[in-house]
Amino acid sequence: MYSDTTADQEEKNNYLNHSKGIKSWLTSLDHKRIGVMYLFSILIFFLVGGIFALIVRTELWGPTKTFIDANTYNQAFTYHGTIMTFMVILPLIPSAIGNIILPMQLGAKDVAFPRLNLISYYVYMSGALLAVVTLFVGRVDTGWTFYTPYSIRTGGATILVLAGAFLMGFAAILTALNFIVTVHKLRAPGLTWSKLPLFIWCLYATNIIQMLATPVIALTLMLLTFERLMGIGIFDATLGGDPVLFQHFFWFYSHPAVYIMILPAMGIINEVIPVFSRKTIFGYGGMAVAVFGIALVSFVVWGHHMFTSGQSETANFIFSLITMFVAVPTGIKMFGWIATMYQGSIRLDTPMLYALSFLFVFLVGGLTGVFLATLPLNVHLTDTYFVVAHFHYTMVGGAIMAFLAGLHYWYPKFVGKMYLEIPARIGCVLTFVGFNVTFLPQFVMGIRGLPRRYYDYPPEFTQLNQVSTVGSFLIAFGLLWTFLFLIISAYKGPKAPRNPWGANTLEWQTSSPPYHENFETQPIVTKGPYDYHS
Amino acid sequence: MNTNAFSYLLPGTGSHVASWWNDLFSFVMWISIFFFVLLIGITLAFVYKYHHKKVDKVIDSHGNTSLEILWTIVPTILVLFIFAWGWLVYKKMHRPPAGSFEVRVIGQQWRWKFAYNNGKNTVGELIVPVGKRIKLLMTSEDVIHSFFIPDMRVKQDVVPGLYTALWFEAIKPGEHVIYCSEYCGGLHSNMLATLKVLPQDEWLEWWRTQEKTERDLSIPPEKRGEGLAAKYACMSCHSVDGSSLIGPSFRNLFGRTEKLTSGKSALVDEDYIRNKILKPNSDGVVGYPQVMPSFQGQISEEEIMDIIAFIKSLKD
Repeated sequence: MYSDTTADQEEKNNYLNHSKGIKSWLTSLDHKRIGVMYLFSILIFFLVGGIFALIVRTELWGPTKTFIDANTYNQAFTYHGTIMTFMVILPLIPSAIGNIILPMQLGAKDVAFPRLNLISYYVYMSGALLAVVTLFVGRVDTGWTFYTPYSIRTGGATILVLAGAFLMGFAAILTALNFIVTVHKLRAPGLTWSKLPLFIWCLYATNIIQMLATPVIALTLMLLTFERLMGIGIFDATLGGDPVLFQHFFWFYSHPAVYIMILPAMGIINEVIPVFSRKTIFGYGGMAVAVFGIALVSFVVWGHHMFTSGQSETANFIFSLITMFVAVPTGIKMFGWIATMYQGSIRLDTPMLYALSFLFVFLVGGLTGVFLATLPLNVHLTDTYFVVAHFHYTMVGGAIMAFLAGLHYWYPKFVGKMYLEIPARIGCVLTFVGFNVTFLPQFVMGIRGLPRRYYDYPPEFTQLNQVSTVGSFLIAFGLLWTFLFLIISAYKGPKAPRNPWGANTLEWQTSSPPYHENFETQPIVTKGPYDYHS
Repeated sequence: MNTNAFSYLLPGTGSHVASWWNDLFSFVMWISIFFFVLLIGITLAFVYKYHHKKVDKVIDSHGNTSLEILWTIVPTILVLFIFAWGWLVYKKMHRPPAGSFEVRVIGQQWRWKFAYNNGKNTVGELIVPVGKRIKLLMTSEDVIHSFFIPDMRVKQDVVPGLYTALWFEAIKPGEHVIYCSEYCGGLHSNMLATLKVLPQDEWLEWWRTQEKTERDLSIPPEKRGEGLAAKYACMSCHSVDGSSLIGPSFRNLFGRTEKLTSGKSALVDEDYIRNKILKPNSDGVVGYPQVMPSFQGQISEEEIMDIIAFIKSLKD
């Protein structure tokens, strides 16, 4: 279709070859390069967080000591949680994939503030390194939740980790601001709000949560730092403070943060299912409204983390009731995705396999969420392995499965090569099976009462723990396999066409990989994002 | 009493609240299984039926308003029903009935202490009569703990600077595990206790027996010391086999020279051990956190002597 000279032009002008050298990357203002830098940095932290997960699971092979002592174990789950939430899952889809895809889906040359975009990357990296460096100077054992007064009393470099999380929050605010302005100001001609791809809607809702909620955690972490340094007595009961207040502050951010993690994931599923079903998304309006419904409700349910904290019965009543309503928009999304496949023409390429895995695990995550929203059930299940399994089903099963769906879906666009299909499918199956083997037994352990964060446990839980540990190594194997073949594909994969999946959104109209400034000419939008048949 | 379809998943059922809990749990479980099978079934059927190799022409549609209204309203009604049922059970579970028998609970890194109205005290063991409503009035001496009896389906955080309460009524004699379920540092997973439910008459006998104040002189002091070390939960933090837990091991401790945080060093003798039991954090040992609670006023001089004899006996 294109002459050789066009192909040469594409090769020379694509964002990967546009300029050369490490410096041209580190100082790049190109949103795609910044996205790629985010992607690699986050994946390295993902590896570190994953190693800590394996340390935890290995130690839990048997009761009492397997290979590390209790304090090391407590540090291992603290680093696993802190790295995975603040450094991996929160920025993973918005800052890495979103950075690359959002401007292209809008038909823009870049984000609204390219310099701010680069700054936010470096702010994120300084925060992340500040947190990681504590591995070598002092270590932290507070759990990723930093509950007071334990986090005030324990030793270690807690302040450094708090400062790191503070900086990463700052980076998230900058990125969110940048994206919001980009969506408002840089949409291609014809791209009206009602024609926006749902991935953009989801990122937009996510960004609003990031802007509004992140300052709260920033202040909380700052207060905790002052408390540790000067004993000002905000959270310490012996100084007239209230330790439970910290939990209110913490969850006021950290519950919305759960939706910062899951909404972009839903956004990816919204793109993948229509493309691989060759059908318009079912109920576009309902799907978009549901996202904002979830975002809104996310701000008023934080108390459901605290049903046993000693907060009032009235608070428990209200928080349990509102939490129940989360099930409604989530259900709408779930039903909508499934209905999209009805009477379609379904292809089971790897992104679709991941999307189907997402439906499975997210459904389990959602349904177990109803158990936890029910007051008396929560009283028994909270702080047990049931909660651990539940949030891994949403956060890992949900966010990571969707991330992998997106990574394979847009891989041809990022790299200019197709990934190798068969190994990619095998990787998906391995990860999916490993995931369920790891976390299904944890529901049972939780229902039977085993508290989380336990180094030692009654011997009756040994078998279930061992199944879970085997599963965790299967996940690790599946993920390593997947990433190994993604690296191989960059060299050995067949050349990717512009639009291998026959998708409608704008990023597929430019070359793969895209030009330095995305498009040769300004694209104009005339039809809906999932309109494959007109 | 446990005729529940999911009983193989559940812990023991030790109270009426627990069996109401089981009913609610089963209901939510059945609803979940229904939706899970329905949705995954439909998804798999679609993947099979509309696989691109079998499909000639896609019939596109943008949505279906009545279907969307249906799947908004049905889940709303269901979750509201579950909420209402939950609230009814929660009220019974959470509000201690009037006239309950009170026991005070103190959480401390890493043990549970129980104080009864007649002056009796226990550590790591809550002893109650069957068929009586027990109300626990709880607080913490250090960080937040959480008092959790799985078999009773009750859990309540134990917060420094605040009294929280929890109640249960055991329906049969037996033993149940008590966990600390809020992460509280080092030996969080060893902060267990046992709930002993005794038949009324046996319990009354225990209740009336004065604790033996005079020492059992028929056994050697190091044996008495071993019993006391268990009673005061010393071994949560100090091993007897030489391994380092939160504090130094008792093995080969006596006669050793310890480095203190002040820079001084001290010989571990009788006086040193007595000081450490009564004022543990005045000058700590290098390499260990200063978290030991003081036993001032809780332990008699004779008991300290017995514990010293026990530590002395732990030599290779």
